[in-house]
Amino acid sequence: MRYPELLYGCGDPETIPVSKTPLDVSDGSAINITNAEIFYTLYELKMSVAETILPASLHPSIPALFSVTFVSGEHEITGAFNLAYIGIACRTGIKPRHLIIKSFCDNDAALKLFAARYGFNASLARVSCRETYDRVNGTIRHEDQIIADISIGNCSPLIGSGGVVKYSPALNACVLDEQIKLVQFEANYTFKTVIRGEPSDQIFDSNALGHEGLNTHYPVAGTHAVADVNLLPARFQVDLINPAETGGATKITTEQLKK
Amino acid sequence: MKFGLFYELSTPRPFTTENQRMVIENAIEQTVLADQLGFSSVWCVEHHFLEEYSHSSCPDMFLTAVARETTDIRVCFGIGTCVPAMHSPIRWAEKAAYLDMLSNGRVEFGTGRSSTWNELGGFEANVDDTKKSWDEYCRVIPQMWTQERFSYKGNYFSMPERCVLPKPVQEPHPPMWVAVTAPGTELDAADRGMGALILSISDVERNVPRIQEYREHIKTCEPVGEFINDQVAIANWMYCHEDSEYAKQKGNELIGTFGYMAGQTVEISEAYPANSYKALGLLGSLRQDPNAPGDKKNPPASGLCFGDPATIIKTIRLWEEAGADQIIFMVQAREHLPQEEVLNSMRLFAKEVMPHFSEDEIPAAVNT
Repeated sequence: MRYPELLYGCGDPETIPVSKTPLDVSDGSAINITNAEIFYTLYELKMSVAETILPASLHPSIPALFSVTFVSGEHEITGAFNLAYIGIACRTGIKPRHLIIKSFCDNDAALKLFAARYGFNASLARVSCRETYDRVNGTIRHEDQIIADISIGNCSPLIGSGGVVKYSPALNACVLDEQIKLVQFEANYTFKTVIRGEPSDQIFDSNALGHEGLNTHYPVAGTHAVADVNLLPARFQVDLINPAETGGATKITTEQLKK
Repeated sequence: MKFGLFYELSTPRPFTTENQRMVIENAIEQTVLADQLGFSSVWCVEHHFLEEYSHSSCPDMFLTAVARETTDIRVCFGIGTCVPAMHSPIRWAEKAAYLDMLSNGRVEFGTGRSSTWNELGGFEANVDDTKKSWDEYCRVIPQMWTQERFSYKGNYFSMPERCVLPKPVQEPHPPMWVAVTAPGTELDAADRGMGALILSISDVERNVPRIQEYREHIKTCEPVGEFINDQVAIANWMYCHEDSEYAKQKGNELIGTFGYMAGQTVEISEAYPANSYKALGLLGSLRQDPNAPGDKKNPPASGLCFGDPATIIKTIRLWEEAGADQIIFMVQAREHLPQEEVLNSMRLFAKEVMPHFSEDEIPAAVNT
């Protein structure tokens, strides 16, 4: 049995996908998406897998978890889009967040917008999310390969306007002030409908994501929500290299944005 | 005002035999001293799979060890989890009564339902039903203690007629409590005639309305047991030292350590959206909203017992005025403080603070 002194990531930072698009938050305004659909599933994974993916600047959550999120919406700049991303649950200090290890988008304009504003390094892919009479399904097809085909079934509505639904902010690796930083992607949600279901019938190609050991064998829960989403300008950054104990989240400074 | 100790049994990594034993042995040594100093209660949590934060998976065993090393201090479940995937209510009735025998009538039985995915997910418990199963457990356990033979047909628990043994020493049965973290749970406690064990560590001011509401509601309660346990206990921190600034510094270190440990766990609301967990539990309430600016949780402005005796006396007066009956202290976190410092803090507290709140209260005003 091993007795680690501390529990933190030991992954190679080089394996974290980094957006080449310089972060641009000069606009400073939020992006509002009315009636966006958010399909979110959460799974447990082996701690040893989470440790080997997360860099030293992040603690894994206990138990280790990963999420698959689909966001579908329409915006005046981009038109209709479907965005999907896979994140590993982590902590920076005491806050729950999810480190994005892969993202996909089906709309080039949206892909560029999310790269510039929030540091997404999304690949152009066929992404879809649809609600049927008895389930919600999300699929990601990239270069003729099915990366994910995920459903939730046995769905039931959650009353209370989605007050119990919480999405942890995501972290994207991107270039900020000529350094690679993890930038927080966060939003406010005004929920209209929320259903909760049991994740099932998945195809999930871990190897295609570049990480072995991610599997959907132990689902926690899944939700599908319709909400007005207020995407906040990127405000927080986390170090990629420094250990969690000395890193933590800090505000993005005006000076960093000028460079 | 009574004073007690509250144990999570948080354990530093690495989880060697030496480290795990040290935490338990140090805690027992503290309870023995507390018994000698006049503290009135020792509370021990039940948690599972909470690495570092709490290795207290068997509070009954810890409390049994304490009971056999002490003579007067009350031994209190803080709490026993009332979830079918974890425990049958029969086992709780048996364990609490057995400990009441071994301690000669010193048991208090706190109840609760857990608030982390670590625990409920680990046992594959039905998250949606924990409040309902807790309610059922609260009602049947006192009956198992007081009825010679008991049978029951319920939604979350059933049993044919049996004599649940042993019966407790205390007549009619040990006092019953509820762990209160989420807003409104104090009313659940009051409605059932149970004591409110307030675990959300916060300002005095924030708890004043909760205590007032509890007192109002309990006047019209339908008690689940044979008597009404009209008491409010407040979980708190304590580090007492002649140098107030030093004490506050150490106190902030304890809270920081606690927050670091709490941050590693997964609250139910982060993993499994459920209307039965609308509010954050104790662990989650220690964190700010992840969307909020800043990354540090500021300690509550009032209510924590860090400082010299005079400072702590003033703080406890605030709790007294708020209507608390007892304060139960966490005095250590992940063995951050050397054991001798913890013991000295307790000694100073007992010598300089406790007399001001005893029945033979020192009349002189605190020299501030």
